[in-house]
Amino acid sequence: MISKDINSFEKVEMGGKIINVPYPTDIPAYKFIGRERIIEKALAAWTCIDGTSPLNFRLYGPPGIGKNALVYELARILNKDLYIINGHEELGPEDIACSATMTSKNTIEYVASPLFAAMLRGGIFFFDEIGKAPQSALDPLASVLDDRRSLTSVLAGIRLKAHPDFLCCAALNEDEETGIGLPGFIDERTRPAIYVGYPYVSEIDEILMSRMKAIPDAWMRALLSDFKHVNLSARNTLTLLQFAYGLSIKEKGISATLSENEIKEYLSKAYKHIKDGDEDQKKEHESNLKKSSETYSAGLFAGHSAVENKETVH
Amino acid sequence: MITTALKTTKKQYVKHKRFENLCVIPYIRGRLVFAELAARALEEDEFRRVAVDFPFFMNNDGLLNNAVQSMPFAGSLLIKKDSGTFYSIPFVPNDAACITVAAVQMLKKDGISIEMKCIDDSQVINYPQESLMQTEINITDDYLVFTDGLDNFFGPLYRRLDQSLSECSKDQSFFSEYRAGIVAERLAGLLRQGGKTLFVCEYRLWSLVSRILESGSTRRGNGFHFIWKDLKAAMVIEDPYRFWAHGLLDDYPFTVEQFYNKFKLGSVRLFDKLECIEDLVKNTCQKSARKKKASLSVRRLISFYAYLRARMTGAGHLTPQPLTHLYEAAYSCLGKKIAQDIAKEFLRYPVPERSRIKGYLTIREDRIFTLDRKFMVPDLSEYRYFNTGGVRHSFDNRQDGDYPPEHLIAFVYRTDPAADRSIAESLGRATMSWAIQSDYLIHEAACRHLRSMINRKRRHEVPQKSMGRMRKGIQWKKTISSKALGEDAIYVRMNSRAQKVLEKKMDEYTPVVFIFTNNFKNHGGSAIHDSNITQRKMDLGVPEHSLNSYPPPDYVYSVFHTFSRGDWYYKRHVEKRLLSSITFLYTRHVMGLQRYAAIMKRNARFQCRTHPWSDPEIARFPLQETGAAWAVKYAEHTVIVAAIDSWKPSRELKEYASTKGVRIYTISLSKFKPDFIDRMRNLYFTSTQVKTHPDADRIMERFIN
Repeated sequence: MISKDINSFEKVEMGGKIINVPYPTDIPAYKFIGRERIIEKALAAWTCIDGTSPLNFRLYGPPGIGKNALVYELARILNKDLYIINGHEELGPEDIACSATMTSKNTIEYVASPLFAAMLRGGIFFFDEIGKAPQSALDPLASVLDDRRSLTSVLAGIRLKAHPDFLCCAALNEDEETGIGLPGFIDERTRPAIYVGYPYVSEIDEILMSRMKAIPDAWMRALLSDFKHVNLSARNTLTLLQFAYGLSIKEKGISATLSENEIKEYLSKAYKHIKDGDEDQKKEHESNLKKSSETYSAGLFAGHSAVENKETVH
Repeated sequence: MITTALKTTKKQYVKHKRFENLCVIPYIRGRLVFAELAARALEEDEFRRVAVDFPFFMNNDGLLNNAVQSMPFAGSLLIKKDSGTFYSIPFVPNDAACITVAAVQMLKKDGISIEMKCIDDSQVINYPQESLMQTEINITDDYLVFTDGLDNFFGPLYRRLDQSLSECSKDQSFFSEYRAGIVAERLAGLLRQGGKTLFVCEYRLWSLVSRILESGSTRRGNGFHFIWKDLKAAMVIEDPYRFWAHGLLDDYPFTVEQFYNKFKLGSVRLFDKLECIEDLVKNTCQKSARKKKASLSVRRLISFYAYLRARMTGAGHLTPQPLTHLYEAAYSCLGKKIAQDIAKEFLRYPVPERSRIKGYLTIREDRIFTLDRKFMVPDLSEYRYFNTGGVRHSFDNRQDGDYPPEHLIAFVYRTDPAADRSIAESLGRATMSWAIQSDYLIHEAACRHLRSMINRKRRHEVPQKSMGRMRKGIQWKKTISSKALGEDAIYVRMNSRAQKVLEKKMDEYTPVVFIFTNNFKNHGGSAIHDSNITQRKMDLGVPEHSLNSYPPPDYVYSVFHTFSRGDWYYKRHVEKRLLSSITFLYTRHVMGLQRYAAIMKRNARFQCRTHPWSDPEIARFPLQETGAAWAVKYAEHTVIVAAIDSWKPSRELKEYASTKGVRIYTISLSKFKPDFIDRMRNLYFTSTQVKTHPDADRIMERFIN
C-alpha cells in the first residue's frame, strides 16, 4: 500500500509534464457487518474469467444504507487502495481526468483526478453519487469503462492506459437508478447494477453495538423492538439513536437511569425529527382533512383507507 | 456461453462386484440429471427386469398407470397418517424412479417384455419421522455426474454419509438398516432369477443396500414387525410452481417439460439440461428485444454472460441456480423486463384445468386399492417428503438486497387458473373503477424528477469568456484551464438561458403532462376525480338517507389521460390501460379525500370541476393536445410537458398558453429510462370489490409487476 498523506500529492512525470497525483482515500477502520451476498456479487463482477476484463458494477439503493461502507470493505478484502470521486452538479470533465491549478509562483500545475490515480496505480476507483454528476462530466468515462480502459486528458495532453489491476465501481441512490437513470453510455458500461436493500434487524443490532459502545444496551433493545418494522437505513438508525440519547442527556443528565418507556419516548421524539421532509406537509394535510371530515365521518366506513380515487369514464 | 464446452458421458451405471447382471443408477430425488440417466438407460439398453425404490404396495398396475398418465403434470400420492400429518410421494418426470416407471410402461405398450418391481418396504411410510427425514448432506451441482461419472460424483458423498451415519441416533440407524435389509433381500431375490436387471435407487439407500449385498447375508437380521393400520391416500395433481418452490421440480420447470417431451418421443439422447437453459435464455432475450420490451446491447449481453459465469464459478456450479445466478444476473445486467421474461419462461410448466384430486385410495400393508371416502387435502406446505436434494426457491423470501422491493412478486402464483377463478368468482359483479396508489407513487416520482431537472437548470451557470465585464465573478476552473491550454483568457460566470426562462418556482401544483406517442388514432380519454366525504360515500354505495347531515357532494378533477386499449382481468375487476398521454394538475401521490383537500386549499380558479371534453375552451383542441390545453387552463404560470422528441406544441396551443400567461416548458421523454416509461404507460384500475378485498395488495401486485 502507498503511504498516505492527505495534504500532499505525489509528483509524477508523464510525457514531459509534472502531474500531481493524489494519494488514496483513508478507509475508516470500523468493522463491517453482514452483506455477505452483496460482497459475493461485487467480487464476482470483478472476477476475470477466460481473460475477460473485470466488470464495472454499480450499487444502488436507499440513501444511508451502507453502499460506501461496502466499497470500503471490498477494498479491505482485496487489500487495494481506494480512490473516490463524489458526483455533484458542478463536476466537469477535467475533474474526472486531470485539472490545472495556479501555483504561488504564477505557474500552472496539473492535478490528476482520483480516477487518474487509480488507473495509474491499479487501485479501486469508486464514483460515489454518480447519478448527481452532469452528463458532460461523465463523458471521459466512456473509454475508461469499456475495453479500451484508457483515460484522455485534453488539458494535460495525456492518454493514460489503465493498470491491469485497476477496478471500478459506482454508487447512486435508488430514485436516480429507477427514475431518470444514468446516461445510456454509462448505464451500459456499469453493469451489473446491484441493489443494496435495508439490512436485517440483526445486522442493525450488530452495527449499533460496534459503533455506539457508549450508549447503554437498554437503548439498543428499545430501538430494535420499537422500530423493527420501520425501514430505517443504517445511517438513520445511528442518527436516531445518537439524537435520542443526546436529548435524554440534555434533559436528564448523563447519570440518570431511564425506564424503558422513557427511552421509547425519547426515541419516538427523535424519530419525528429525522423522518423525511415530506412528513410535515403530510401532517398538515392530514390535520386539514381531519378538521374537514370529523364532523361528518361519525364512524362510517371505519377501517377503510381514505386514499381512494373515483374514476369516471366518458 | 453459460458453461464452456464439456466432455460428458451420459450413459452410466454403477456395477456390483457380486452380481454381474445388476446395473444400478443411484439417484437424488427430484433431480433431473438422474432421471435423464435412467430414461437413457431404458431407451438404449435392453433389460429383463427393472427395480425401483418405491414402496412395495405400489406394485399395482392401475396406480402406476394412473400416475404415469398424469405426467407431465406434477402429481403426488398423498398419504394421510394417523397422527394427522401428510406424507407425499411426488410423481414428476424429473424423478428417476418416476421416469423409470413411465419408461417401463412405454416399453410394455410397445410389446417389449420387461418386468418391473417396487421393492422398498411398504412400512416406510410408518417409520418414525426422524428416521424418514434422512441425514441432510449438501450436494454439489449434479450435472457433474456427466463430467465426473457416477462413482466419482457419489464417492465424496458416501464418505460424508458414512461419517454422518456414525453420528446419527439409534432409531435412525435401526430403521435405516432395517429398510436396507428388506430392499437387499428383495433385490437379491430378483437377481437370482437371472437376466439383466436395472435398479434405480436413492443414493443413500443404495449405499446401505450395496454393503448388505457385498456381505452376502441378505436375510433380515431382526424380527421387528409393525402393527399395520389402514391408511388413507389420494392421487393429487399439484400446482407446479409451488412444487418448484419446494424444490420438487428441479431447478427449471421448463427443462423438465422439455425433457419429458423428448422422453415421449424416445429421443432423450437429444436432451441436455445446460443446452436447454442456454436456448431458453437466448430465445427469451431475442424475443424481448424483438418486441422492443427492453434495450439489449451486445455489451450488456457480454456483461450478463461474464457475470453469470463468475457467479456460477464462485459457487462451483456448472448449472446456474435459477434465482441466485440466472435471474439475478439477468436482472442486474439486462434489466428488470428481461429478467422477468426469463423467469416466466423457465417457470413455464403445464397446469391442469381439471380438478386437483384424481382419486382416493386405501393402503393396507402391501396393497393399495380405491376408496370412496374423501378427506381434506391440505396445502402443499403441510406435506412431508423424503429429502430431495433440491434447492427450495422463492421470490418472496429474499435475502437482503437481492432484489428491489417491487420485485417481490409471486410469479409462482401468477398462472394458477384455479386460484384466479375462485377469487374472481367470489368477488361478484364488478362495480366502479378506482385508481391505485402504486401508480400515483410512480407519477409523483416522475414529476419530482422533472421538477428537480428544471431546478438544476435554473441554478446552472455557464462560463463565458470575458470581454471586460465580470458578470457574476471569475470562473477559476475554466480560467486556469484556459491558461494551461495556452488560450490565456479570463472566464466569468453568467446565468444560463434556462435560468432566465425558469425564474418562477415550481411545486406540486405545477401541472405536468406526459405524451408517450404521436399516434392518437382511435384513442379514448378519461378524467379521474377526487371527491369530498359525501360524494365518496355515495360512490361507495352508502344509502342516501344516511348522508342527510353531510355537506353537498363535490369533486375535483386532477388527472386526465388518453389511452389506446384496456385489458381486463379477473372478470373485469381489474383493468390495465395503455396510455398515450397523461396530465396531472396536482402531482403528489395522495388520493381520495387527502387529494381533494390538497386541491381545495388552492384558489377556486385552479380547481377543475368540468371534464375536459365538456369544457368548450378545451374541447376545440385535438386529442393529442387536450391534456396540455387542460393543464394550461389550470396552471398558475408554467406547464411542464415531458414528451417524445417529435412532439411540438401547435400554434393554437401556444397562443392559448400566451393568452393565459402560461409558459410551456418541454423536456424530452428520453431523459427517463425506457423501463420507467413502460411502467408509467400502464395505468391500473380496480373495482370497488377488489379495492376493499383483504388481499387487494397481493391481487394487484400480480398484475402491476
